[in-house]
Amino acid sequence: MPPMLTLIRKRLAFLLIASGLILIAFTGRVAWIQFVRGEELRERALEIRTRDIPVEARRGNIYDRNGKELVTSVSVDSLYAIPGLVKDPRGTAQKLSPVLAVDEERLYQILTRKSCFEWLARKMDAQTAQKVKALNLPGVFLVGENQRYYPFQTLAPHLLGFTGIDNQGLTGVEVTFEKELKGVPGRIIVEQDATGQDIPEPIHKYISPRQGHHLFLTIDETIQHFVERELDKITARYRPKLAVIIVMDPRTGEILAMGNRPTFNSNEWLQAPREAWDRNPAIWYNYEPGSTFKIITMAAALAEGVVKPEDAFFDPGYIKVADRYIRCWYDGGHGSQTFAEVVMHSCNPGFVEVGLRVGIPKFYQYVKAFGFGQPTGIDLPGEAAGIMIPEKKATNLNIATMSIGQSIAVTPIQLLTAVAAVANGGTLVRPQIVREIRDSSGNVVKQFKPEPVRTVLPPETARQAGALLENVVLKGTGRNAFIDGYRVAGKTGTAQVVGEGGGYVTGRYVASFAGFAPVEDPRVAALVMVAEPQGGIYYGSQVAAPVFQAVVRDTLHYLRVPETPGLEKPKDPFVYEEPRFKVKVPAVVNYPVSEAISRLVQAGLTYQIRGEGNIVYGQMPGAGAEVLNGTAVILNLEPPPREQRGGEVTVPNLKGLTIPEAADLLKNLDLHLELNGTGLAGEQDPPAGQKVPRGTTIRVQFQPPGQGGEQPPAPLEPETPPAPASASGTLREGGFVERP
Amino acid sequence: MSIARMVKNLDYTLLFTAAGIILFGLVVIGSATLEFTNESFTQLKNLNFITKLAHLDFEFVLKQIQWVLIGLFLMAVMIYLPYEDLVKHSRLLYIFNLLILAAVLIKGQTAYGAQRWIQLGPAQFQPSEFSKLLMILTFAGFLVKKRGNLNRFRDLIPCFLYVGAPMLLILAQPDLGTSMVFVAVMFAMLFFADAKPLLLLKIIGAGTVLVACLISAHAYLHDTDRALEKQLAALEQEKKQVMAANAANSPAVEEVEKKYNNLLKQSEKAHKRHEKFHKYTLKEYQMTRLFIFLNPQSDLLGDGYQLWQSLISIGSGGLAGKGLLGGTQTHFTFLPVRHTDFIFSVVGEEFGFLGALVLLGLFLLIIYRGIRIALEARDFLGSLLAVGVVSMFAFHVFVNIGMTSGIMPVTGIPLPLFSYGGSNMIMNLMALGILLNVYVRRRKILF
Repeated sequence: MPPMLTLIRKRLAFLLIASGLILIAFTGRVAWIQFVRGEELRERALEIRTRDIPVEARRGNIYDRNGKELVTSVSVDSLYAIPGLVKDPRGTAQKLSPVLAVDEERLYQILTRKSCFEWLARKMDAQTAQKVKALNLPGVFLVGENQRYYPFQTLAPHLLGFTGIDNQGLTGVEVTFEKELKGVPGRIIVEQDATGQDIPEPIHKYISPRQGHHLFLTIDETIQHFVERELDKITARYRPKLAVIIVMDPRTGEILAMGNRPTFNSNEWLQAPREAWDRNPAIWYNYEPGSTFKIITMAAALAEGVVKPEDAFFDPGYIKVADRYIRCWYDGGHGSQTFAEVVMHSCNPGFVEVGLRVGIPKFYQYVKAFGFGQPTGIDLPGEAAGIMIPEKKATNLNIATMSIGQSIAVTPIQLLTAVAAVANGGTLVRPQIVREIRDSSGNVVKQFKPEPVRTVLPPETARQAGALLENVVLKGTGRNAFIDGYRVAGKTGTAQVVGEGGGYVTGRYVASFAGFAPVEDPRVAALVMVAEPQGGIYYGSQVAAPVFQAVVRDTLHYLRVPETPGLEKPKDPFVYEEPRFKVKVPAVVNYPVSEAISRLVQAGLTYQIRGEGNIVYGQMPGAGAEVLNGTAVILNLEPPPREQRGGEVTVPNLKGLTIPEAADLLKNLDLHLELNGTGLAGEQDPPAGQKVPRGTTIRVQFQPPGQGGEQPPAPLEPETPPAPASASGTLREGGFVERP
Repeated sequence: MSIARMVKNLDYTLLFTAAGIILFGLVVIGSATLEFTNESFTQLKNLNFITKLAHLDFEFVLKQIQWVLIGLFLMAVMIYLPYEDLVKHSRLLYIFNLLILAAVLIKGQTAYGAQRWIQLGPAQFQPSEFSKLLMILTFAGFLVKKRGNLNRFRDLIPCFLYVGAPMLLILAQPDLGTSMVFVAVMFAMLFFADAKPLLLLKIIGAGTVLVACLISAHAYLHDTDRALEKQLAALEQEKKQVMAANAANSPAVEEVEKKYNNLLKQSEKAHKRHEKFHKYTLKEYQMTRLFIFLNPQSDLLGDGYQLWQSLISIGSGGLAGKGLLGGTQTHFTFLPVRHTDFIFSVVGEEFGFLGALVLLGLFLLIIYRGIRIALEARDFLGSLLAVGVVSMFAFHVFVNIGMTSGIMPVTGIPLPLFSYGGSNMIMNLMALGILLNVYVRRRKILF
């Protein structure tokens, strides 16, 4: 064989061997895919050609501590079709149409769709479901779904929360315990092709869901009813911006009741305004606690030994800290008194001095130990942490004001938890709202034990503090909270609301009362907070203390807490009258409401509003009358009926009004506006005060602001728009009057 | 040479193997194009094999049979014309090759983002398919004179230019797969034509290194671009927060703005470099598609979908497969282009490992017969032609099965004699014609 041919042979042999090896490698690869990964890939193949339709599990119920049902789910049936399994679409549509009240042609269309799964009806009523079941049609199936139901409608809606369209928890414990309540959804499995269309005789399986666990709350439905009742009373009487009542078992931290105003109906939460349901004020609202915070100051001072109940104090009516004067709420001061009396009278200079004695580092140590500045960890969503001046930046003036509950913001639940620590002998306990989680057959899945966070006070100090606070109720500012037969300890508080700009806002207060009973073995601790009550009365001692009394009295009776015999009732209820002086009632008729109110408040008066509208049509007492400051002036906003109006009207003073304001005002009086220029109203003809027949045209010269010679009648301080003294509120230092 | 003697001298092993592959292919095409939306799946599954054949979708099968008939006719023509005569006109054929490829670029029709087809009367045809054949014929003629004179790199340059011209036209369509066929066939023929193996190996090695460099360069550019973009987005958030918390010209705002602008410049620079890279090489999406086979699960619903479905199809077949018409991947239309490029996956699903083994065996048999023909050729030109055809055939098989089984990039290379497609079927039959042409004119063994 010629050498050339050998070479060719060699190279061809190489090509052949190389090809053969590559093909063998491929065989190996195919074998790898089919045998080694085969099982996994076969599953994948099944997975991608089956469609899962989730079937939601029945959501667990929520019960109160005695097993009373607060939230449940109502079963409803839904109907679906697997078009591939429907043997006779025309006949099925014919039979279903009258039962479902759906057009036959439409049903036929759905039943013949090239799809593997179609809903025919969601959440039908029981009767319809029965009828469908009786028809026994092939290819259509019933599946149970459920809908949340709140039997008590408006009972603790913020705490319970509510669920969305797909039964998912949105607020309250419904969202905190979503995982437990939800259960495991079941599935409907149907085979399909790549485009989601049905295939003939598909695999069709139903895997039933596992029901969600039940929640047993610490809430007592009866006590919650007491709370809701009192909140309704507060709302009717004071129309506050917010009101919160929390009742707690101080020994365990269990919340017995928690109520808020404004409130809403859990079943129809969508109809309620957003601000009513989107936050739970009891755990979210940051406010300056005022005098109720003196409990903390007192406890810290007693624990540190810097003061004893019998120590002597002198209150000249003010105290100078740094270069600022902090006044006592009691004009002229309380004079010479012991520390016990300082507490009893809620004397500001006394507490400031005690706070300063504790000193910055120790004071902060206690405030933090009591849990302020961080969330309490209650099992509810959206808890706020409160606001504190950072310790590094704190000055003596800060300590002075914090001692009396100003320049620190806390949430209601924080304050109550701290008070509970004083009540139970000095241990801070995490507030709890769930006692147990049980599965659908009643077995306990999880139990919540009391969770002591830390020891804040020695028991002896706590007992001492309790005794001092009992004095407040027996003899001091808290007398309105006295409950016949029980030893009650507590503290009132009245604080001004911090406006958006940072300063305190005149005429807007937070009245509160925090306390516990019975002192010797506290079973109940409660906090009442009423933010911005209207109608002139705003003291914690008058607004909040009676509410505390009502709630805690009923709770103690309901819990069958034995009475302490031989208690003496305080002589008279505590009513504090500010020193009064006479003022002249300003004229506010024909003013826009907001302006009228600021004029009254400036003059030292309060107001009550009748009717609805934007313009004041009448006032009582009338302009020029001399009354005591603080008197409520009734403002009537309903325009008098036309026929009762006389033929003549008084021309209002339009100075400083904008064009739309002026036009609106005149229109209401049946007067016509003839305007010149733009800006704010200046000269007018005829002048204000003149009586003119209806229909008269008033000529008004408008000028850009600042050009008119005269000041507008608007108050010097524009009224701050209503805004929550919320998390964004800034803390202001000093320069205010602290009230009890 | 008389026709009768030709018929007598044909390589019947090769012919019957090819016929077997084509018939198998027709059955699989008939199954692959049948979608279950109307007929009962379970009923069909339980029929016997023969009855099932009657239930195939015959639309594409009939078309394919038509292509096979045309191909057989052209194969006969290819056998009849002596290959020396064909190669004699190699200059003319080469120019014709360039012309049809240029025509595609000018008048071609676009499908799947590439221009590949030319309308020719009632039918469309794909010049790049025939171009492979023309290239084998012309390059064989070119190479036969250079035999033994290919020892230096210098000597190889004309060869590269000769093959390079039509190859670049195909690359411009763009058809990366077919271009790679050109390269592979060229190297096989050079190797056979006595070019120094070490030299070829060096060139291939250099090419591989170059590709690797490009990939890592891209990876670097791509990653820096993405990382900077991410940082930029994060900084933008921060900037917004700072702006909201501070006054307009406080130092904090200025600082963050400065930082932001710096990063913005860097990011823009990186982005430009990245874009420049894509401008001169492959587009981003092409790169992604080419390398998705390394990890198809990274994008199951996007670029990895096709390959992942293919793997599921083959993998769920098992030893004996799900049976004809039993493939759920196929009939529920999860597997895309299942009657053309991904037809091997259908074989894997419905006929299992055994079916795939039989098919691979048939292909190996064709390769083996082709190499025997090269060995028995009357002259070196004949051997060279046979090697060219066999290497093209083998490369097609490797690339197609490699891609369906997820060890090679997905390029649009059909399975020869098996996939549905007119141009490809006709070209492959004509290629077999060239093999048989060489065979019937082989060296006579003296009895």
